[in-house]
Amino acid sequence: MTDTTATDPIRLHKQLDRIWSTAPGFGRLSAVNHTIVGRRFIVTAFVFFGIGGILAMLIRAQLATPRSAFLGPEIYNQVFTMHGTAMMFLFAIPLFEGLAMYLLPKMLGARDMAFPRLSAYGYWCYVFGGSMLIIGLVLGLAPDGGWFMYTPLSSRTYTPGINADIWLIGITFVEISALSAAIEIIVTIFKLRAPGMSLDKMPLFAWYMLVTAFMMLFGFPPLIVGSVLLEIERAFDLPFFDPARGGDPLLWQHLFWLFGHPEVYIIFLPAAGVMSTVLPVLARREIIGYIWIVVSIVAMAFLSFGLWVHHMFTVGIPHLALAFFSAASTAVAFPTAVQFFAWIGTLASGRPQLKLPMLFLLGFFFVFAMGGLTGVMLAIVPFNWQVHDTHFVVAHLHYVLVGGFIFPMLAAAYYWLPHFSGRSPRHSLGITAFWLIFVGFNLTFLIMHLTGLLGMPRRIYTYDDAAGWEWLNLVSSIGSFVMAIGFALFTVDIVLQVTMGRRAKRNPWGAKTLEWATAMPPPTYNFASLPSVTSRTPLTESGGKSDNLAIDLARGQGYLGFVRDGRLETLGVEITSGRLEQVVRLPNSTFIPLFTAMITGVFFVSVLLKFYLVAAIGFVVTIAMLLMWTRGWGDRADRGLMSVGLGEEAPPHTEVTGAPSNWAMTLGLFANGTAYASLAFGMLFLWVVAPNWPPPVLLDPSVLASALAVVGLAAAAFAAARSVAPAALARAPQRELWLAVAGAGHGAALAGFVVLMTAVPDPTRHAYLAATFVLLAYVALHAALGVVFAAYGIVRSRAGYVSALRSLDLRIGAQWHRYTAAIGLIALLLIHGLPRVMGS
Amino acid sequence: MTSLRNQAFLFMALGFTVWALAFSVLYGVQGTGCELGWHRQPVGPLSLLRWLLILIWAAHMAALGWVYWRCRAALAVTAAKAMPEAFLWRASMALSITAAVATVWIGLALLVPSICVV
Ligand code: HEM
Ligand SMILES: [Cu+2]
Repeated sequence: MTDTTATDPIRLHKQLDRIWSTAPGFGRLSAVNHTIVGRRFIVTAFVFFGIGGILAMLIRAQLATPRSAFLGPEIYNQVFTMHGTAMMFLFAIPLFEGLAMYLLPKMLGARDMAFPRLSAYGYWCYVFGGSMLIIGLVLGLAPDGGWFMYTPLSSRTYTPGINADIWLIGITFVEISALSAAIEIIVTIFKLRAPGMSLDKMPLFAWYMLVTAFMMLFGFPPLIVGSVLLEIERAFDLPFFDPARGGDPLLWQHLFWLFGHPEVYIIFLPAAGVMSTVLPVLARREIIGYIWIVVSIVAMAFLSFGLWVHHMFTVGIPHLALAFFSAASTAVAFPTAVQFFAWIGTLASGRPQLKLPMLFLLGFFFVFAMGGLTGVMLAIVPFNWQVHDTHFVVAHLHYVLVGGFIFPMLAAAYYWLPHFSGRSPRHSLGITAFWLIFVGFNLTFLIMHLTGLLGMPRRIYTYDDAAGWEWLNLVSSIGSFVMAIGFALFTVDIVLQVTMGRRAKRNPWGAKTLEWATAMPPPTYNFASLPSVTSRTPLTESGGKSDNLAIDLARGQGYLGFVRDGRLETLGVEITSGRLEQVVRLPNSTFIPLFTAMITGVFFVSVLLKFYLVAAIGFVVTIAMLLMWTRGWGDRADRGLMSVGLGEEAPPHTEVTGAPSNWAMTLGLFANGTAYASLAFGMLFLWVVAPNWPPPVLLDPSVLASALAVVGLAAAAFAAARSVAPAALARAPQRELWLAVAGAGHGAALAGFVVLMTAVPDPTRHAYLAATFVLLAYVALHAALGVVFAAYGIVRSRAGYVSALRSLDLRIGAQWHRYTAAIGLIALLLIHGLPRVMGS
Repeated sequence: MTSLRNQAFLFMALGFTVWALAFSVLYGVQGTGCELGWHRQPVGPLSLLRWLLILIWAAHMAALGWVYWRCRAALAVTAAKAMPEAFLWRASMALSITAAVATVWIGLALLVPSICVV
């Protein structure tokens, strides 16, 4: 072993920086480091905020006066749709993803996120997908069916052009980054913490992000499934939402809002996390009710999945179901209130300072509380019926989104800017910016409650002089321009501070979380050595010789204060207790994520342009490139326990059961399972609820093909389990044989599924046939990938990456094989069983 | 001992998973029952559908009771030993109570007189 222990901080910095840094020039495109990628997410999100904001100004300009000829209806529809879409998908979600990526490793005491290349890949998918939408807008082809794309308006009959396809495909492309971020955030919080940081000592921000990421993991798959189904309907005429052929537009609404309501909380929770982090620091005391906050965010996450139907109160749903959803909708106010009281209590019992971020936090209190109140009003069914689809709803949603997201995020910007840039402000433009935004906002949106109650529908491009809303709308528009000036001033202020600010002193706010123990701006590796944590306020403790943790760490007096074999290393811990568990090796910069995202882009663009052959090639190449990420990655020999400094030892991540990548596969399968469940739900829903059922023909699926699939799947699952049994792992020929059996099993299952698919008569005739076809295609795809993964396991084994100790690759594969067997069998059960149960 | 460690995290999600199940099953059975006309089959004073819904609701309440007792017992053990898992068990216990309250709250909907009227 070539331990180079350096106590000289400068030498240590040079050694670490050499391996952690990213090349300049074009090399920047190869960055995978969380500080860089996080920053990029944030800056890009603000660019999209600018675009969304300009669209908002166009809306308000159009609505300022009656019978305005500024934007015609076609353009207006595109503008409000793109405004909503950009704000929700291209601004809000990526912004907090970026903040989480930048902050989490630093708060948790790690050197990077768990999967840096995945962050970079997600970032590029986001940029490319977002660009597709913006290009559509510039070409005048932007989606125009509203940000929730209701069918039948978004179906081919009423949106014959490419507009809706741009939304469906662009957003699905962007969602790759949301799912990859979710997985990455969860695994990072689970595993990459400083030793000693048990879950109860974790900064609250990490709890918030953990819960948010889980919500994303379960919330986004229904949307993706809905989008894929709608795109299939539009492109290939398979009817899922067309009632004449057994589909139902309500299925879209269910799938969309199953995502869409949790989405609101997905946006709110990170902002609340900022509140719970920044507020105690500025109030100069620890937050009150740590455990109650944790409990309430978990409760909130679950409850928010039981609310989606409140967006559909007017579609004709039985009273009892309305009562369920109304009850759940009001219930979610309680966990919100718990957090509110914790914040207010902290403020009241602390010694608050009215610094600039605090101003924005106070803005949050006022605005979000208003939004919450109108939210409870809307949860009451009769009231909802009155104001459904009016500007009252527009007012409510902006009070919630701007209050619950923008204000905290602006506070975050001012609070962490010294950390990002190493500079503190010279001017106080921020205060002026705050008041312009605050006053402008309330002027704009308070009035919309009124126009809404007076009956002004949302999404109308103009209105009559006689409507009685003229001056209200004019004032609202003036307010929105005041607010816009405020945002412009904010931007100027940030740019000034970053370029011309004074050098900030370390930890300017007197915070107690670990991110302030790095230098400012942070070095590429965050910490020259990693701390050992014993409390929730690690910055006030110190394990080393001086009383300053930051200095001790820079001197290498924590864990891993050295470079070993030129590798990028950080520590992994047991989830709950935070006990030291493994040494995690991380990758450095590479262009592969960028190239993979480009090929993924080829896939999505070809689908959009209906070049399906190119799309198929793009898909295959994407999978191949993703597999290539692991080339040369791993250990060819057992390493055993390695020293981590401070007299402790841990094995490398390739030799433990709880390796980060193993968790990633588990979580990925959770998301996949949610998508699958949404699909199955869709089929059942249509069967029970949609008109024009039962279908004209019921399938009589081939018993032989089904049996082949069952046997194949069973063999794959069994062989996969055998391949990771200790006996097989120890002997290469044996484990490779089992992998071959698993691959063959998937092959057989694939053949069976394909036969079943070809036996489905013309799936465009009825939703039953279409759903059956898609369900089979879904499991067939998984079986095909099963063949690939099994073969890949053999390749890895041959290349020497597998041993009795180093079984990670095979265990990851085994998860896939087992999962595929499970969903395959469920599909067969549905396809054979449903016609029997429901057929008559 | 190891089970108290490994399960702690699971139990944090368990209480509200039961709630979510109650919610979805009630919603699903209600929809299906209305479609199949179970609300028109009287069984004693109530309709078949309403009996079914009440039964489902009660079963989930019972499950939540079990989750609560599990957490309480595990909390006692882990807290006595000052294990870091005690925090999670305490949170899980609070969550099981919260989930029970939420289940009672949505259960009130079962008092709506007309199950299937749109
Ligand atoms: C910056 C100031 C903003 C202004 C002046 C503004 C203005 C508006 C207006 C007037 C509408 C209604 C259009 C119509 O129904 O005809 C609207 C819709 C909407 N806004 Fe904003 N907005 C702003 C910021 C935001 C932000 C920050 C978000 C989200 C994070 C957002 C999300 C939405 C959504 C989702 C819709 C609904 C779009 C649809 O109906 O499809 N807005 N906005
Ligand atoms: Cu909602």
